[in-house]
Amino acid sequence: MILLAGCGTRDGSGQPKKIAIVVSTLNNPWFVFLAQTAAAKAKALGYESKIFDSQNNTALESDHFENAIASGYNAILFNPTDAKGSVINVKKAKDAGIPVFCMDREIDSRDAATSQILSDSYSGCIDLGKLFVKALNKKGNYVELLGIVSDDNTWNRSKGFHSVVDNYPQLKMVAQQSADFDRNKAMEVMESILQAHPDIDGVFAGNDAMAMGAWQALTAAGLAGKVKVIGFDGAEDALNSIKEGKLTATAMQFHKTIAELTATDADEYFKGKRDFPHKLPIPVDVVSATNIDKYTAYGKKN
Amino acid sequence: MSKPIRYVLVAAAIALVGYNSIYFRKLSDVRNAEKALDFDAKAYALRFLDTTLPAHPDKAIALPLLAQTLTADPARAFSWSHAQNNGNNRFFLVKGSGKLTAIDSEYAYLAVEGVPQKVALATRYIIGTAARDGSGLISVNEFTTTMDMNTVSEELNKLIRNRVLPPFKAAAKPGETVQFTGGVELLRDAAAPDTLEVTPMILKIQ
Repeated sequence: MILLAGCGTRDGSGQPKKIAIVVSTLNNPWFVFLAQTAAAKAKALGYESKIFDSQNNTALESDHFENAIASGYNAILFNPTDAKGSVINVKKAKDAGIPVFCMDREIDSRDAATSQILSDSYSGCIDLGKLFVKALNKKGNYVELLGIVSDDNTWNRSKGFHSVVDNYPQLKMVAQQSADFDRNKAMEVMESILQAHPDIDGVFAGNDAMAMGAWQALTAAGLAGKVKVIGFDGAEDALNSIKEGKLTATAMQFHKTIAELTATDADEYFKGKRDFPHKLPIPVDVVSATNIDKYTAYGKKN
Repeated sequence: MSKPIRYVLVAAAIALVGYNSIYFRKLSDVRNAEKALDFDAKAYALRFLDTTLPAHPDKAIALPLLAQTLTADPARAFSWSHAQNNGNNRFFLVKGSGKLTAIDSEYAYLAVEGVPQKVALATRYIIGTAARDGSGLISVNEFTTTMDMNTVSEELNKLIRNRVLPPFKAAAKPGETVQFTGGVELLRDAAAPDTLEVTPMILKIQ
């Protein structure tokens, strides 16, 4: 009986199983929504859950894993801080018999995590790259703001974008700097770039928070409207900005889908499923003024 | 304990603790060792284009069949497509032959019997993942990171630009017949386009 109870939503003592949701940061509304959606889905499936904020700090993330293991959590839904550095935490949990399900960000391992559900950032940024080329009419100077350099999403987005834009020799990247996916940092970085390169025509930012930060800096410099700014995420303020004719485009990530599928994977694991795909890319949609009416913050209108 | 013995024991203890705890290696050696473990996307792409793809001719759909089915039964046509995700952008591996009608700076245009659309072989901008994803032979689950898989796409596109296209562009003339295998990207929710753009992977002028 105990064994049977352990295979479902309840543990051996009849209590709901516990799921730890370890998220890279709660200082970005995108990740808050991701974590809360995963928690809501876990609850709907009959589990208890708790959200842990790693504050983009791998050491803190390690502490959360230690705590989750010591506190008897049955599964971890995980949004990593570092593609390479986080692998050890996942392996530690796996060794302790706790399955880990990655959401939105991947770790550089095929077999440490039970499943990894991710946005197909590369393909999304190919589409954004095509739109950027068109918006700038195949020529001009542009700036790229990168996310956290140890995150694979940062480079998949950058590589997807460059796989298109680098084919056009008259599009010249005058600066490429990291702003860690952070709005305030992006504003500061952009202000400093504008000192050296006031003659830019476009900005490609690896997420919407940085795109909004860049927009603030451009507004302060009197360049808003002249410079095409593109983000990535589908955050509420970015969509509003596109509606108002400010940002040119973003790529909508469906993190509700990602969070819910991740929680569902954990549920299916508890019920005996083991053959999960190592990585499951989720498509993203380009959103611009031409199709903004079809979208709402973090998703598509029903 | 006499002093000399004490010194010998202390020296032995230091040697024991210190052994191999500090050592020096050239940074370039460490980097090269790391590089050796790295995934070789270029070699993978080369193997795919030269060996894997020619070994699976059955993976390519005849372009006239695809064109006709897209109109008659789109759901069936899209069942032949592939992608790494379940989104709207779908990829096909197609084959066929047609007469070269025109060449401009970006495309070589073909008239293919049984295909009502204009067929445009991309000859300048090799962009996107049609070459990687059209056949369905490359899966995300083969790779340690999605970045490895995405680099394969870039290397495939580079090989097409640098190896497949130059001899074709040097020899192709309107009126000639061209045999082709390549990738096509189509949107599931859109009507079949007036021009089918093919990312060429194998080209032969007959």
